[in-house]
Amino acid sequence: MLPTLLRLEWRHLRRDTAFWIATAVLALAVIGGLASGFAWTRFQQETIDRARTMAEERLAAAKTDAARYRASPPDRLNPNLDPRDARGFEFSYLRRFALLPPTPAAPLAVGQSDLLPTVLRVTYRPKETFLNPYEIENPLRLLLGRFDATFVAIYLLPLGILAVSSSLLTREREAGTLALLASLPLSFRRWLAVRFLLRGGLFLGAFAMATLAGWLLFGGSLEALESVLTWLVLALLYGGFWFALSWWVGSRARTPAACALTLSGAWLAWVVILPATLNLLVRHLYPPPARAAFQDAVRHGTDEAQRRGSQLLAKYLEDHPELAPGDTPANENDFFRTRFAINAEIERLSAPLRARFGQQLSRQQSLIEQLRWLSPALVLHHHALTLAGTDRARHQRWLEAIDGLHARLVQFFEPRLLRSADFQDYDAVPVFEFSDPPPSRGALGPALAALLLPSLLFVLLGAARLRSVQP
Amino acid sequence: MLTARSLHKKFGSAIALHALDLNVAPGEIYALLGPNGAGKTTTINLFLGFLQPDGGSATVAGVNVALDPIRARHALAYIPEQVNLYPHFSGLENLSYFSELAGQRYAETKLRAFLQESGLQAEAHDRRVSTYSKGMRQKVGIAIALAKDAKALLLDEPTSGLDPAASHEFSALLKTLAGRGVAILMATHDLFRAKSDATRLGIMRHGRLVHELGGPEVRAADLEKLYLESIAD
Repeated sequence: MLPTLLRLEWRHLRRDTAFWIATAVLALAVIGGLASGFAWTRFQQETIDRARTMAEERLAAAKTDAARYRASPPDRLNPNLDPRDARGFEFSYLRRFALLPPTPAAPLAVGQSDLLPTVLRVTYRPKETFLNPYEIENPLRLLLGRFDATFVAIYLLPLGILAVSSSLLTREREAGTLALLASLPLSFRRWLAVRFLLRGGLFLGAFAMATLAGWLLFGGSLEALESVLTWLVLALLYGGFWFALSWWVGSRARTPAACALTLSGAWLAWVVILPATLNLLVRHLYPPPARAAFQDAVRHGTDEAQRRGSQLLAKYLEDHPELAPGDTPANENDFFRTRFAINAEIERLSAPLRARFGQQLSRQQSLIEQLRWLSPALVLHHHALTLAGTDRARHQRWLEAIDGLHARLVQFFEPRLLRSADFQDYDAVPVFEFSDPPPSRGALGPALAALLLPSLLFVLLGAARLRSVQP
Repeated sequence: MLTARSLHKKFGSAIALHALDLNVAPGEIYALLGPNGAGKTTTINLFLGFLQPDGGSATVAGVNVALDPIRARHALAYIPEQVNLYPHFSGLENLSYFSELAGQRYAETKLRAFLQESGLQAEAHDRRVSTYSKGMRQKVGIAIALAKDAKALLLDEPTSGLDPAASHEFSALLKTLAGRGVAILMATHDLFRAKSDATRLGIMRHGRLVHELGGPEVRAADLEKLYLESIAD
């Protein structure tokens, strides 16, 4: 009976223009989303490559210029431009970048990688001088997120599914064909299930094909294929959830209008309202200090530290006796000693503010991770960002690696800046160390269950409801 | 073939059918008459398994509809007041679709023969149903019943809205089917058509079968009088 039902449903489907238009639009949308994701990732990679090239070129230039100046010392050269001087090397030549390269699967989900920095020049100066130098982008983009494959999966895929499946039963009732169908000796539930399965299979199949074709078309890495396939499985289960919901709502609704209204309300609630409400809730429960107030406090601290420069210097030298002037003339390097003292004070002042900021963000993140199970859209979003490496957690690990580099740069440069002349440790400058942990698929199980179980529930509820159908 | 035994149906506190006993034998055309709300459509819906009875039983070819509706429907065909078909299919495609769903697969020539037999002109077979008149759609409904090779036919106001010629043609088809041994139960308001087609007539009122009489014996004027008397409060 199943092949007959499939063949008969195919007769309907091949003439269902709306279905084919919706399928084509979705396929084009996911290809468009991938194109946008690839364009952004390419831009990020080019920026990172430029930064890397610049760092290498400047280091090579430092060595060349230093050799030239040693061979033929110039008459007058500003120490800030002299690569033989640690000051000049650090100021004019050293470009030590912390780079966060996109993962091979990054084109799947841009996430907030277009808002958060992925290239930062790290120096021995206070972190506030190089962290957060970027501008927040267009607020509209902040609200909607960049158009990418994950955006298509979360927002457009369910809309397409509702368009092609919401009225499969109610339309028959409204058109009056249900009476004839219900009088036939067939399991009505099976007939409707075949309608859903064929449409669902073709619609989601087209989505999967378009995703894989787009991935290969835009030169996506084969190394990321496992992540792409995992993303696809999650997106298809998410699609399955919407088909199951449509099946259940369709089994209860009397008219296509009531069915469409209920389903669009569910879409609005799960995809738009619930995530926005949770966002507001976590912000209300764990409000981070306002960034402006944070910057203001740091600026205040800087001014205060500079005003108390000599006082701070005395205290600083107590803590760092190895940096005391010793036999050298007392004021020769006082600028740097004072600078270090001020830097240390700024770090001391800003550390608790930054810690509070980080703590609140981490609490927000942890709460939203617990609450994400309330919405399948949030489940897919969370895992899509993790798979693409554009999640907050990866960015946080990167910022922690920047902290490490900063501490090592301070340790490296402070004594050398005081000695300043005859700097030759070009290759000993600490380098940025960041690597991604091996991928963990541990969290995938709960995500699959979170998408599968409600779908199963809706399927069973709908099936129970369809035991008998009244035309 | 179609048997109701003490068939009872309530909608909330309202009794729609009160202990109905009815039997339609093969080759019989039974016309159920009565005003709106008398219980005619409820009776048909109970035979189709669209409704669950609150008491008694409706059986089709010996199968209790409430217990095994799918098996009961194997022996049944149904023509509602409005035969609504898929407008994007032709008459031929609709017939093929509903026949296959009912478990019968025919060659195209056979399907055309069914349409021809039901009176649908050949030039309309391949036209989209969206261009059909009500009478033409009723003919496709008859063709579906023919193709199904049903032992019993249930009709709910089948001639409502048909012009006299179409109504006459429809009556002739019913008689042909009855001649082949099909048991036909028809709910109708059309006294004239009931008188001319039915072998037996039943008049219903407030869910009860108040009169039952043989079609051929009764005169049209007597039937009208009896009907009006029966439905008067």
